[in-house]
Amino acid sequence: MQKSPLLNSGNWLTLFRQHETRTGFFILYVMLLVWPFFSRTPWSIPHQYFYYFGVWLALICGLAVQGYLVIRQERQRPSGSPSTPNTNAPAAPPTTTANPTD
Amino acid sequence: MITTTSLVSAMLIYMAILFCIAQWGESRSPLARKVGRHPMTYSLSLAIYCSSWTFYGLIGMATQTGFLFLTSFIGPCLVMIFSWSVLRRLVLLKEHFRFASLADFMAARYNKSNLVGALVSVFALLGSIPYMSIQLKAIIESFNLLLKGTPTSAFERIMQHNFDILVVALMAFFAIVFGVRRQDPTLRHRGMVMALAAESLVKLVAFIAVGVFATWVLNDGLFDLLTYAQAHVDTSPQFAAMTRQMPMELWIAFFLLATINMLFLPRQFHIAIVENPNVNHLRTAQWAFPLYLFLLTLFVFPITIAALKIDLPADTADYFLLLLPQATGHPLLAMLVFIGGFSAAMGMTMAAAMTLSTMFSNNLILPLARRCHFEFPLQKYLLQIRWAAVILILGCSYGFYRAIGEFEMIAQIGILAFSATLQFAPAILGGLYWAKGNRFGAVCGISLGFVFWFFTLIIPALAKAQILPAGLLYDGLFGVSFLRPTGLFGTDGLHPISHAVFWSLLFNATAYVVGSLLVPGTREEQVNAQRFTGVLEVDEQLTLSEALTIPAEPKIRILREIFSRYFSPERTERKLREILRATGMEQMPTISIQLLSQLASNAESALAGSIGVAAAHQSIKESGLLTAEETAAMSLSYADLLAQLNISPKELKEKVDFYQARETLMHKTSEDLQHQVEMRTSELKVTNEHLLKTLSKLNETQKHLVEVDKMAALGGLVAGVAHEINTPLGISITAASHLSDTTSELRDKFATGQLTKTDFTRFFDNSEESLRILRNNTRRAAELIKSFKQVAVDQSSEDRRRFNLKEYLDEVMLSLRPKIKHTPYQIQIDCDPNIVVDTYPGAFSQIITNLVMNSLIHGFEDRDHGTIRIQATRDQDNLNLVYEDDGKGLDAKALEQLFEPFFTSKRGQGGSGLGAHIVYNLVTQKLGGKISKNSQPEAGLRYDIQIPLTR
Repeated sequence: MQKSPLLNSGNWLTLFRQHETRTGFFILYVMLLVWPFFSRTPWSIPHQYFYYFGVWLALICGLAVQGYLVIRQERQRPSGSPSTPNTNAPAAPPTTTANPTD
Repeated sequence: MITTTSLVSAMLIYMAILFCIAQWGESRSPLARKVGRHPMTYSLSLAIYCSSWTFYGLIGMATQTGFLFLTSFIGPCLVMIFSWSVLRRLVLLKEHFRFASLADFMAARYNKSNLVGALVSVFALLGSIPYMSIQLKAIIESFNLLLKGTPTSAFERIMQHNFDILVVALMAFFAIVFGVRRQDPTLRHRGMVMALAAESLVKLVAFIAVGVFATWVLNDGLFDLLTYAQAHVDTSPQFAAMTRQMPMELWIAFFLLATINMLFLPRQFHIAIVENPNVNHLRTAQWAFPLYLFLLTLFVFPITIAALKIDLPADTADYFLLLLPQATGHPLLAMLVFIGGFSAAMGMTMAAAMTLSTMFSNNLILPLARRCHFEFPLQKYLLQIRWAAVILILGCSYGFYRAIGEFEMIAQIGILAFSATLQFAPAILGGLYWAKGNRFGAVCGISLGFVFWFFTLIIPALAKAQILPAGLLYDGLFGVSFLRPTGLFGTDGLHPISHAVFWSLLFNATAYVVGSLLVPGTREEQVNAQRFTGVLEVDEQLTLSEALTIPAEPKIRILREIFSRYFSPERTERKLREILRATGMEQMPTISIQLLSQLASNAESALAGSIGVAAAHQSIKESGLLTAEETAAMSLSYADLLAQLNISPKELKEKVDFYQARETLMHKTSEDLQHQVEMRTSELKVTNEHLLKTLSKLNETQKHLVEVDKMAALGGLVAGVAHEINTPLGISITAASHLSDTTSELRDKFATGQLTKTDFTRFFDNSEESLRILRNNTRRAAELIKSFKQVAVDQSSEDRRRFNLKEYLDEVMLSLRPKIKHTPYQIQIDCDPNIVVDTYPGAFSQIITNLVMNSLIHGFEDRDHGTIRIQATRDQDNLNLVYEDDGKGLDAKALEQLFEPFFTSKRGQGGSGLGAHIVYNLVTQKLGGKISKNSQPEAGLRYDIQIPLTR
């Protein structure tokens, strides 16, 4: 059976590299953190403890999965290729502009 | 019970262990290099973020502000989603610009400005000294708390009184030995990073140990503790504080403080950026470091609740971690906590002292000396200046602790220091992402930010410590209530921290932006800014020009003069050689303008590693290495090059970038490969050693087996010979008995007078016959014993002697007779009776014995006939021995393995598989000869042995 393109780790990473996606996660996470502030009744100590540490652990798991996927993708990449598509990695050499008078 | 001596000893032993780790880390051992470069070591070293403020102070904070402390940890973790790109950018910039500290980076970004570097250094020092004082406070107070009420001897009292000095001295020593050992601080301190990683592990283990103890040993688990706290919310103000939701602006302030400090605290910047061995390690750190923080903070609440449950005073909350095991009678656990706290303080102090001393020397002392024209001889003593700076910084921290630290809780001083670092954030982030941000804006922003930081946080702290009048807090500056340090411009409702963060950051960021926009930087500054932000603009107003040839010697002389200001003569020459080699102009009398440009760039880069980017740039600029004419020629030459290549300046830049990046990638790949080769070599070495050991053991076992085999053969020989001697001795006994009987019979007849002549004649006949039998059989027994003695002695002796070969072969055969005589097999010996050889008879006897026994046991198995032929001849130098049997022979595979140890066709039936192997070893090693084998199934087996006689 052919794998769904979305299940491909490369696609997930592309999604994660998009600034908008990361900002979305960030906002979502901040909302989760401030949720107890908007509660009508104060949360009990056990509730707060398990809530905050649970949310934190979820973040760590997310970061670990992202890190794992990136590393796996880099290992699968043919040797000699630049590690990540960023501004500092070497792009293809620019071709010399032809002189129109030639 | 914990005594002063035991506590100080534990501390010193721990220091010694750290020292060994750091020393090992600096060694060339492949394992040390592997561990030092490991991403987990890097991730753990980042945990110097958790100083003693975290270790002890978190619990104090939890008792006052409940869950607020979590923002200091969740914030940095959350920002890991984005910080990857910030950190990566900084690491890549570090590799290019070789900056050695935060101040150096700022100076490099803002047009290599000494002023920016100096400002950042001064404020970093101001912000860090309170923070370092907490570390001293934590160690000294935890030491005193542990020993409170402990009887002490006079010596121990002296030790207690001077403990603070001892701690400062130890910290200075460690920071100097491992943090400030090289003049070029951009070189990685692998040993120190490994020691920091080890310290991070120790403090984590200590914290978790107390957490587990408080949760599951003293109480019935996590839920039990949390429900207990909830049940006592109404009676305990500390538990009530845990349920109280802190104002959101305070959460945001803490979140900002923690996040910025995780990235830009001077020590954190140094470890995360300057000491980064590989940019990809950031990927591991992005989850490993948050996990570390998670594990460390997991038990803050359980420990706090457990301590309050046993009624420990709330005003000692900073030290609940230490007091809890001590109050419940677990001094060893308390000592572990002390060591953990010491680790936390030590790691932070060491890294901070190292980076601050670099800032102090590179960005304050050297520029100041240059400005005052007092350069000589300071530059030659850069390292010593840094050592002095370490001592000075630690001394100031100790002074701060004695002046103010004793009045404040650890957490409050920590926040004070954190807020100072926040003032660098606009200039750093703007410098990385906003090309218009310039030196003027940065100076305005940082200065104004620190003014507000000082006014809103330090002045209230000084007033509380009664160093400044307390009225300042209520009446405001100059009696203007609008200028109250804790209620600036009428913002009274804010928490002091939120208040300080809000105002200082607002003025800082505004001044940075407005200053940058109002006073645009020079063209040079703009180009430099674009190198940092990644947007490249190239001057296109270039025209054609002719190339210029420049004599090399004057330029080298200028460089020598610059370098000799900072380095010893030997080092100056070495650096010069390296630069000339890197530029590719060794022994060139004249150089082109392009080479000169390259030379200036390489020289600046080499100098930047030691004295900072700004100072290096200034030195090269002021040295006259590039004259105005040469600078102009360089511009023309560059334009000429563009014209020749027929490309635009932008395209040229892209090409250069591409090839530079490719070179970096190749260099990195080559380093990785080299590392892998080293690793494999090391692994092979280990495997080889293991194999050698196994081989040695195998040889020992084999020798032992050979000895056992020899003894068994000797035992068989003894049994056989005993059996053989038994026959002639039995016959002799019978003959002697018969002679005795006939003698008695003759005596009786003589006594009774019945003796006849016939009796007498018969007696003589019987006597002669008996004596003949006796003589023959005793001679036979004597011969047997003689042969046995010779063979047995030879087999157990290593001596060499001369002997007659034929006689010796007969003796060996005689010793083998018990094995042969009951079999149908024949042995034929064909040997010249005159052959005398000088060799090892024992080895010889064992060779013949083993070959014969192999034939009997294996060759003639299940056969009713068989013949063994032994033929011995001698030429001038060798004895040639042919041994053959007509047994069942061997197939090709078995023949191939014949001489291998433990090869046998009778495994499990008593065959050791060593007979032929021993023969091979005796012939080739003991006798120095050659042996070959030949056989086919059902065609017998033949050995051809050649033994040299002149060995």
